[in-house]
Amino acid sequence: MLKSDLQFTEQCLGVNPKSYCAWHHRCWVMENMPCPDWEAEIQLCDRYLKLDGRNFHCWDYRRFVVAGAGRSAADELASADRLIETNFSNYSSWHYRSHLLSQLFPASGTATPIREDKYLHELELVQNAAFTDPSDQAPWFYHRWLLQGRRPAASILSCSVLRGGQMARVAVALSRPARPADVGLTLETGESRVTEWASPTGESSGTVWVAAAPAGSTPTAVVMTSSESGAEQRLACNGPPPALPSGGAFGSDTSAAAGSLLNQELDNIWQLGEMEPDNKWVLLSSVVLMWALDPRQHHDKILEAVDELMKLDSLRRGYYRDLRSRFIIERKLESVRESGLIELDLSCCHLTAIYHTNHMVAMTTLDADNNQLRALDLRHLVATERVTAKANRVRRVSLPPGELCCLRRLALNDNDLREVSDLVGEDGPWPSVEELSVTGNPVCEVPGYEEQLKERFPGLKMLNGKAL
Amino acid sequence: MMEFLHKRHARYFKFCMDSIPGEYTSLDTSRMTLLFYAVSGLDLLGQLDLVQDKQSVIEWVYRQQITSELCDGDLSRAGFRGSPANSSGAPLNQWDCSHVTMTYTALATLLVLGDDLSRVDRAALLSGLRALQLPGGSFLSSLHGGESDMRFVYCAAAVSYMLDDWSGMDREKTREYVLRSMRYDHGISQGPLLESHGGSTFCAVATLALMGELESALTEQQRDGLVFWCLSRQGVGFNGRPNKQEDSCYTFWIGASLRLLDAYQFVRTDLLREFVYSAQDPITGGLSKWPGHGADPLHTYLGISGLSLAGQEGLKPIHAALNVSADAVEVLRRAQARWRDLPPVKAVD
Repeated sequence: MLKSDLQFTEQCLGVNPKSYCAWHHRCWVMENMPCPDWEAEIQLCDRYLKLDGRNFHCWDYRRFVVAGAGRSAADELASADRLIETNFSNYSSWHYRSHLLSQLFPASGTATPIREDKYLHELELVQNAAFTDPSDQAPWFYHRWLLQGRRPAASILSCSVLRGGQMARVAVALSRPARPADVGLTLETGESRVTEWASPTGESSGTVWVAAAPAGSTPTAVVMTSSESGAEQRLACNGPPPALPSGGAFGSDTSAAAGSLLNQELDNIWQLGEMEPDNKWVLLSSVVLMWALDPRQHHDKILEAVDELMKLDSLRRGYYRDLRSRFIIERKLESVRESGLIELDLSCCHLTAIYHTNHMVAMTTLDADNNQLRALDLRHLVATERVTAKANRVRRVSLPPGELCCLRRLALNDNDLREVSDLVGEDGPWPSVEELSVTGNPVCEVPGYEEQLKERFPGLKMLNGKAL
Repeated sequence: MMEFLHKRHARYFKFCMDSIPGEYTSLDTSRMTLLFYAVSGLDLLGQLDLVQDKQSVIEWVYRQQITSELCDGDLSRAGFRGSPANSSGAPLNQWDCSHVTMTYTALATLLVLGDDLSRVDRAALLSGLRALQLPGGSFLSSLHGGESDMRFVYCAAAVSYMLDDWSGMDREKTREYVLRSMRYDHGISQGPLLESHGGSTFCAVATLALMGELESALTEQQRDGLVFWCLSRQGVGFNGRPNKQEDSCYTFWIGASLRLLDAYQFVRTDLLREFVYSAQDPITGGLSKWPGHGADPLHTYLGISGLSLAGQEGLKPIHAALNVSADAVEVLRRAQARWRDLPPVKAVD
């Protein structure tokens, strides 16, 4: 009876090869058969994939029968090789390959997504495919995956004691989101250890955390344990920022061997770029590579390439503008960190978005005047006292919760705030704010807006340049 | 075709409610989804007045509910069926159980019709939900078994959000399942190992958004990669996977994903509109997956709700994660406010 169900599902698949239930029922039949013929099923998959190499039902079924047949991942890798050789454009084959490689040769703490010794072979294979038909996106997505280094595990970026309030509070910024309990985040005060942390964004996992030292005690340091290496990191409160990892504040830890491979890859991409000047994938890959290898050395070339991408791939122009903003912000943050400044100047940089606010927690001032920002998310800036973002297109502002906010002066002239709720949402009040300016915003036409603002900012001494 | 055939689409949805062609017989057990497309579609078009007897539709929906009374002790089958097709009367036979997609579309339909959900057996429904979650975090569609994947994870999250009660699922496991399903290209698949796909990407992103964890769950690299993957789906319209044909339903799946990721402003809505308009059927009304294919309720609804995201004139704004109008969400908020005044409801194991 089970054999006849096999025939039956095959008939169904002939009519609709994308039927969830037909494939599912076939799985059930195979699971219940006393002597299933797995090899025959693998051949069935091959037939259906020949008809439609993108049929994900069939790919999923193939994984199931390959497991049933006891085929090794290494054998399947050979099959995947064959499939790719026959058709480079098969996105599903590249996907299958990524899965097999991650299984067979997992990354061993390096920056590459798979074991470094296999990495070269993959780079050659995908380069071959991409360079054979540079207009096909399938190998380029795979290439992008290979090029993107792994970011290091979470670490402490800064540790600032917040001014004001009755108890001493400390704001910690992490390089990646984490839950305090998972990384043993602890505030040491000499007499005690505090492990209760509040998030200014109200989430269970985040990059910025605030803790209060018990009354009368002085915060001394913050400690956390790396979830990957188990190593402990300690940073003194208000002390110097920690040493940067080898890849820089925003880079990945590329080994010398991988680095030299990637430099060679960059040369190859540039050569291809000369032959294919209008190919967006070549340009994008060169940006990803240069950014991963040495963004400061390739600074001007990266910006040129991104500008070119905005023209070549105009459908994604907005994305590239944001990408450019992220690049500029990373370089500014690096230079501020190196010079030990606590004021961040991002004015007149053509920014469309603000990135890496977790790297700005120790800044007392943020200047983002004269850009094209659509929104201003300041929730991480719990230690910042002065923010100016005049002459942008800001439609929405998010502030840290009132009890965690140290902001004293906020200038938002000439933006696109239309209602009071665009600035305050449903939240507040913010007692710390003493000076606020919103002239040149549509909200100024709303009757009674000044009263509403005074209600949410009860400590206001100056509004729109006029003393209260 | 340069105009949106607003009235014709409304007539198409009305037709779907009155009589569905014979080819749709195989969808009889999913009839609730067809009802949802038609009713919510009419709502988005501002033509809910074409539903002459809203109350009788509401009654039909409630008749598909398997309440605790019917369950007779075993609440694992509670929820909504897709239609009377597999309903067995009392006592229930072993095949008579709810289907999570039908539960989601039933609740959504009730909200669109203005029902306050007071006859929804919340406790039983949440138990039914709990019974469908697998140890790895994924959800089955129903107790029968069958596939388990991101579609049903989304439906479970949408139901939990609507009932304002997450005791019907293990959120941590759900989150882990979603994150394990993000692929090397940062698109998201139906489950670990499968290829990234526009439909499952929406289901995953919306699940995280409904749980309030979208921002915290993704690293910046993941979010950036996901936004790029979604934006790369646009040629004129959106496709669902690289190198595949553009299809009107991705106007919603990809559009809503981008909206939830706060990246919709990058979409070329002029081109998107051009594509969706070309997929309209000028004779029957409705939208097909691509020009000339033939209209169906799913593509009509998703093309229209997708256009709403693009700010299409004459369409109501939608809630991107729930895929219903903002008006329907108002009805939901009132129902939730009422429940908060009542004693708490908990899933019974």
